[in-house]
Amino acid sequence: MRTLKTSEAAQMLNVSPNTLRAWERRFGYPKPARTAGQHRMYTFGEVAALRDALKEGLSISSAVSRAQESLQADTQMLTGALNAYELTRADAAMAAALALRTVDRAVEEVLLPSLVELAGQHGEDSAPWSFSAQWAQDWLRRAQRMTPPPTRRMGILIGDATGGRIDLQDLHLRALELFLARAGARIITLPVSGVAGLGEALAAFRPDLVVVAGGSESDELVARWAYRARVSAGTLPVTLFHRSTSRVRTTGSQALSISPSAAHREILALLDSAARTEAPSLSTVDLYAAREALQERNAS
Amino acid sequence: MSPRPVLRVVPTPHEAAPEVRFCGYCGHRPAPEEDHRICTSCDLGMVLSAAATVAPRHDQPSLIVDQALGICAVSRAAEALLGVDEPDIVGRSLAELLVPAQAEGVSLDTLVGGVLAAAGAAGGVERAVVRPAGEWGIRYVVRMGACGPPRAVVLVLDDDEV
Repeated sequence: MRTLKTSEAAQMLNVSPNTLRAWERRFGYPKPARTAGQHRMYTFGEVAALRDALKEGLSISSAVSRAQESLQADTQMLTGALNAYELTRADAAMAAALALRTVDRAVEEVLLPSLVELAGQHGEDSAPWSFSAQWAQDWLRRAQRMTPPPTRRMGILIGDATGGRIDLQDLHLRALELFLARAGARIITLPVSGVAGLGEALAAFRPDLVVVAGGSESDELVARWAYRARVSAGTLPVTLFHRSTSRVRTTGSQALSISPSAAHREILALLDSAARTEAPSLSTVDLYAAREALQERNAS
Repeated sequence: MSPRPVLRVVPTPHEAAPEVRFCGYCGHRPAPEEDHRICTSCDLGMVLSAAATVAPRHDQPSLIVDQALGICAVSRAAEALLGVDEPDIVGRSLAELLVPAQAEGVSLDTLVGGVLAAAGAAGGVERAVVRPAGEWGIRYVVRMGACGPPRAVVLVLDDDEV
C-alpha cells in the first residue's frame, strides 16, 4: 500500500499542510496513520479519493462525504461476497481494501463492519453468519501468520473468555491479536477455562501484561485463571477487552476500548509507561476476591 | 391573410452583473489573481463564483444547494444562525433547514420554484421569505442565485431586509 507524507499529500491536493491538519480536526478526514516517530502518514487511496471528490464538490464537507462513500464501497463488496458464499470474491474485496489502507485499518474499517452488518442481517446463529465468521477468522489468522517475528521484548498474555464460539467478540479478539503482533509484541492466547499447565507456560513465556478478553465465561472462572496466572507470573497489570466493566472497581483492572485498534494502542501505551516506571500492582482486594472464588469452588 | 404586426412588451434582459469569487464557508473574497480552489483564509471552504448581486458578503449567512435541493455547503455565519454544523447537515434536504414563511402565504413549491429559477437564470436574483424549519416568529428574506462551479444555487439570508 502506498503512503504519503504530509507534504506529499498536501501537494497532491494543492493545499498547504496546515489545511490538511485543519481538515483532520474538523472533518476527521483524511485520517492519517502515524509513523514510529509520530509523523502523519496518509494512504494514497484516501488522498486520491478526496482529490477526485474536490473537483466536483461545492464544499469540503460534501467532498469528504463523497470520498468516504467511495471508500465504503469495499465494505459493500465484502458483504455482498459473503452473502453470496463466494470466498474468492471476499478475498478480492479485502485485497482491494488493502490497496487503499493499512492492514489495521482494512480490518477495522472493512472486515469488522461487514461482519457486524452480516450479524445484524442474519443473526449470529445463521448459516451465512457462520460461513462469514469462519472466513473472517481464517483471514485474520492468515494475516497474523504473515507478520514478522516479534521485535519487542514485551509479552502479552491473553486470557480468552469468548467461550470458544466464533462470534463478534471472538473476531474482535483475533483482530486485537493481529494488531499487537504487527506492533512487534509477543503474544500468547490461552483459554481461561484451562489452568492445568498454566504455570509452565507462563514460566517460559514471561508476560508483562494480562488481557482478559470476552464476556462469555463466568467471573468465577476468570478469577480462578487470573489467580493462577498471578501465582505463576507474579503481579502484572490486568486489562479487560470486550468484558463487562462492572468488576473494574473491585479488581483494579483497566477496561480497554471496544475498538481493537484503540485497545492495542492503549495496551502499548500501558506497557511503555510500565517500562518507564515500575509495573502497577493489583490491589489486595483483587487478590482476596480471586482467592475466595477459588476456595468457594474447591468447597463446592 | 397575414396577421397584423403588433408591438409586445418584453421583459428587460438582466444586465450582466460582474462575477465575484467568494468562499462558501467564511465568505472571504480572494483577490482576482488568486486562483486557489480552497479558501486560503479559513482553509475550510471552497471558492465559488457568483454574480456580485447574489454573492454573500463577508460573514453573511449563506447556504449552497444543488438542483436536487440537497444542501452542499453551509457558511460559518449560517451555522451559528441556524444552530447546525456543516458536516452534519450536508447531503440533507433544504426543507429540513428552511421552509417558506407561512405568514407570507407561500408554499414549499414556491421556494422550490424560486431555487430552480435561480439555478437556471444566469445573473438573475430570486427572493423568498423563509423561516427555520420547526420555528415560528423568525423570518428571513433569502436571495437566491446561480453559483459554481459545478452549477448550484447560493441562498443568502438577509435578515436585515425583512
